[in-house]
Amino acid sequence: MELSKIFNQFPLFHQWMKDKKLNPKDLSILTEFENLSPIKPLLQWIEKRQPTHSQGKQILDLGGELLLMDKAFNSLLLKETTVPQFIEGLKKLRLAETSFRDEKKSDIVNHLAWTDSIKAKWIRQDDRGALSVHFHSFSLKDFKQKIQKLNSVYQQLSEGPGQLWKN
Amino acid sequence: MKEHLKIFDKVYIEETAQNSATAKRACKIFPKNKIQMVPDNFLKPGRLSASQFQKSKRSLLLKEFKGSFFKRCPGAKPKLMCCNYFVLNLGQHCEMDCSYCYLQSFINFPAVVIYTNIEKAFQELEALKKHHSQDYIRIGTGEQTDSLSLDDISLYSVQLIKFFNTCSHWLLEFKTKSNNIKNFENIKHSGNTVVSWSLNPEYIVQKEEHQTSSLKERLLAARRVKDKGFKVSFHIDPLIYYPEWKSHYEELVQQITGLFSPEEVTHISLGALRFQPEQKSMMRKRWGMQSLICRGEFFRSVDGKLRYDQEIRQEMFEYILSWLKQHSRDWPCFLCMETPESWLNVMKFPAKQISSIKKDFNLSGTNAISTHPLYTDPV
Repeated sequence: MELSKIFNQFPLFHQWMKDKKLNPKDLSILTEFENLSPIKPLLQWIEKRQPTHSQGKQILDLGGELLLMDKAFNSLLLKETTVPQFIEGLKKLRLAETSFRDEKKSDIVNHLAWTDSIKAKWIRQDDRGALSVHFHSFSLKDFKQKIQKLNSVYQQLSEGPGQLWKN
Repeated sequence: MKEHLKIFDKVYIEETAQNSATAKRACKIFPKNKIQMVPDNFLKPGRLSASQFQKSKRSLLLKEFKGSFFKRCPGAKPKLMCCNYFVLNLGQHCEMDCSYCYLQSFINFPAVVIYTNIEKAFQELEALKKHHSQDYIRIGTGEQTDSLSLDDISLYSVQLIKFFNTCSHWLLEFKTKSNNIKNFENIKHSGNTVVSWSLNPEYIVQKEEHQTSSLKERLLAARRVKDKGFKVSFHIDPLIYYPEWKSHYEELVQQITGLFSPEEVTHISLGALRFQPEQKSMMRKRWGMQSLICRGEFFRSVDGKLRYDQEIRQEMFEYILSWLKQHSRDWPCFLCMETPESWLNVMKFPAKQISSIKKDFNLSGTNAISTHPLYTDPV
């Protein structure tokens, strides 16, 4: 299907694409559909919610591939879903296996003995999952205490190898 | 005419290539109505749509190559572990049609090409030989085309083996998914030729490696070539992740170990699926979301290519290596185009410390060549 046909039918989507400076290459997945009906709800959602440039690219890639796989995501298209929630939901569906693995790691991280002043979470960095630890120190003593706390978490992880990393 | 050559609807021969031995052979192999003599540069490069790419596999062009045949393997990039491989590009594009093929990301020419002036490649190799005949150099021909599938037309395997008979320190590697080994039957060689096969479970061959020889045909061809005294290696590459991968790859390992012993195999390389992000759209258009490749979950990796999650890659490497090791600890394995981190996690030692492969990862030979005027950096 030609992009011009999509732009004619969805002028607000066309305007959004121009406003957010997406180029036709970013929309190439839409040309892989034979007709408009499968992508109509997605385009309408974008028209209404006006995601940013990078959000829009993610939504089109993830949502487009899900639709090409005949996987519906109607429950995500609800009015109250925010754009980040929508993207997260699309990722869970399109990247189901990796999301599942990441969720299991997140669970493990959440159950480790962190203190309130040390924030830790399992994050995805491109093709790798990683433990992200974040804390502030206000004195040498405070710094030492937090390092000791981190060390106790390290011990906890060492006792059950394979929890987060195999090696 | 052999069955696999029937895929070509048209064979174009450029004016300057018409007197070459390859062109004369092509005129004997293909029916007259398929052959068209054309002026040089008759076919023009340009961006190919999915259908044009498909069509490009049905045209064969014989032409002279004006550039440098000898190049360093594109795997030689910062942040990746490289095995010091050099390539001789004696053609471009491939009539076989693997759904994951990286040629889909850069081929911009409407035909499969055989370069007819191999004598220029030999001139380059002769020049290299003057200064590096005693260095250990691995040179392969299967980077931008299958090394053997069009060998009936070019006979390049025969000419290369003869040339390499004069440089015993060098290693010649053919890389193929075909069983076209007729030219290996009765040729004298110096034991410095490796014929390598890319392998995947038969399920993947059927589903994703279109127009290629079956797994059984490839393994039997490898056995035949080994029995003729050639070195044989295998690339279990690209590893593809799908629900049945464990049982299928375990069966593949059994098929290899059932036909070969470790000392009969020069290398087994493992490589997980990777491709340029731009390739995704072309693959979707050509193969649809039913392809295991298109359905995969990919993430940007350190070199910008899309790969499976590192943990998944590691798991696949570890399982396959463990099955090989269950059979024998002597299988000479290495990882292809992987990060140093994957290497250490899976192989446990840096490449240079693994006895069976450290010769390939010794950079001294490469550094010597990199100062040579014929050396070309990877793009």
